[in-house]
Amino acid sequence: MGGRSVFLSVIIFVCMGCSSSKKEAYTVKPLADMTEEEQEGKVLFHKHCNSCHPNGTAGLGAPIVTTSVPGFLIQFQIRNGLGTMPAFSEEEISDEEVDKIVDYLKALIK
Amino acid sequence: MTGYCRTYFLLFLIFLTGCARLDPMGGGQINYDPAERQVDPSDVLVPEGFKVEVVARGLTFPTAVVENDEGQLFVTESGYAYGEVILPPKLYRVNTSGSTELIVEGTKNGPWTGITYHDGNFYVAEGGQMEGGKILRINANGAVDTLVSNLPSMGDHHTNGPAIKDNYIYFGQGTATNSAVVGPDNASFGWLYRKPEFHDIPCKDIVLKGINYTSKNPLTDAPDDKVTTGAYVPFGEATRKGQVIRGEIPCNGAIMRIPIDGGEPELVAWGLRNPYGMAFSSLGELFITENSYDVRGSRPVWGTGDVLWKIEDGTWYGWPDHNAGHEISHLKVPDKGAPKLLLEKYPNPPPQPVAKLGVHSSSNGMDISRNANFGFEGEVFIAQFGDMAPNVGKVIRPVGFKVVRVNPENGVVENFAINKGKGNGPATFLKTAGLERPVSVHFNEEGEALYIVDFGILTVSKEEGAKPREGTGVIWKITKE
Ligand code: HEC
Repeated sequence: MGGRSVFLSVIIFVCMGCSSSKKEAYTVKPLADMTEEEQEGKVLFHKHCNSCHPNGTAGLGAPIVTTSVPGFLIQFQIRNGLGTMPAFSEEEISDEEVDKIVDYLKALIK
Repeated sequence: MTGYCRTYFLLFLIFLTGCARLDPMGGGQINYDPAERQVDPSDVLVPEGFKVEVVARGLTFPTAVVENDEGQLFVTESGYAYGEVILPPKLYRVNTSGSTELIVEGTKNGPWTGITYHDGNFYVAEGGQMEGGKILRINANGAVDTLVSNLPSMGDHHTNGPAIKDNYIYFGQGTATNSAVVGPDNASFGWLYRKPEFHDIPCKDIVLKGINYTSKNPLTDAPDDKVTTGAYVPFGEATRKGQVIRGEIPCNGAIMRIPIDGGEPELVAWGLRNPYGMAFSSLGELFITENSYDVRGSRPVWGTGDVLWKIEDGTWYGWPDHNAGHEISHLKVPDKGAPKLLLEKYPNPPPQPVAKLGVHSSSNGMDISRNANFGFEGEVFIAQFGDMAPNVGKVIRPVGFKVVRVNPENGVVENFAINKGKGNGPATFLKTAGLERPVSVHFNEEGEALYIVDFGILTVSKEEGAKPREGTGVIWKITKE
């Protein structure tokens, strides 16, 4: 692989890694300025994800918002369910809904 | 896949496998030796404009509070905690100074899991670990009447509730087992030695697929002794395809009700694993919390969140083949594969929940806000006792140990009262003086104060199981400033 992709990968690895930099996302108030997509994403996140990732943090599942996982990896994880997490098919969560969940999580990470 | 993508993919995999090991908690089980409990309201984070106070401390396994007509506060002490600590359950009056006066001491048939007050009497759900569950009526002088007894409570889960509506007492009855099959995990709980014949009873006739499980036999001394056990039958009894298990009332995994002066139980809803908290909304709708499956026993189940349900009369809610409206067969248990489904056909398609709550959060007692001044009107407040990992399964980080509020319109779960400090967990784990294990919440009559009943310190380890600590329970109170 080229030097550039190694560099990029390292950056991504570091930014999504198991950093302990806590954003304490579970303490934040509901986002007042959420877009409609983000709000819909929040409802979908609570329907499909929150029981394993309480408020986007670690629980049974890995942390998402406290480690700043990039959007495309969230998408990838939902469809492929790497590790012990179950994969979600298009019948369960449509592509459009996946995008909204990612929008919401990105808003939390911000 | 391009090389670029593959690199990501590989790194991602490395990351996934590496994370658990990098995690400072080594997989998240909170195996630690708690220090003396400290209590300080300033260590509890609540939304802006709310104030936290301590009402009483030093209680032993408190489970619920209620007020009488004069606004006087009372608290139940459970009398039983996981770890097989068996004491007499108690009802205390709680004075404004925080001191307590004993009203009545029950027999060693706890846990007393909940209390309500109606027309001059207290109504208590007696868990019934030793003699079976009961609903008790206790008058102002402490005289006790038993309104119903012999509820099938001698297993993993107890008799819960109660709540009163239209001269009926509603109560929950938990299942005997994790997922309908009696196994060695029930010996670890202690009850399989006491009641080797005990098992789950369905509320209506069900037809089995005949799935059986072979396990070690803890009831004999022979180390290699094995037995085969099916669903809804005693330990060591196999089942066959098409076998009908007759329904009976009282049954396990159900909401039932009795007339207010006592009488035969009637079925309200079934197919619930451990229906713990219950409350009626201002519209008279019944909401309940259900504690979901653990990763234990002969039929372990992984990844199932606790559930908030709105109960429709006569409906089956999916246990032992579903969680929150979905079959559990799509959830692979790490290193073990997915659980097999047990029932040949379902009594009805299982309904969809109001909300899904944290896996292993132990979402227990609940109440509904009804005061505009307090805010969040119509939202369901739920006490999350917190996980019992590793005995219920592994977690990456502690789950629960807080109070959440749920908007029943959209299923969004927000934190209401949580511990300050780094991360989530019980106060003694975070080394703060905040919440330990919230077990129930209760709004006062006016709805302007929310009481949180905090069970106190209870640690869990693989070696020693549950270790509850007496005298560490607290009652907190949250009001608008
Ligand atoms: C049944 C529990 C469960 C559910 C439901 C669930 N997850 Fe996960 N998730 C996990 C577990 C467990 C992991 C860690 C996987 C591993 O390393 O084996 C994980 C990992 C992840 C990761 C990778 C995080 C990282 O830092 O590695 C993301 C992103 C993620 N989940 C997003 C989601 C989203 C979005 C949803 C909802 C659509 C969801 N999950 C639903 C259990 C769950």
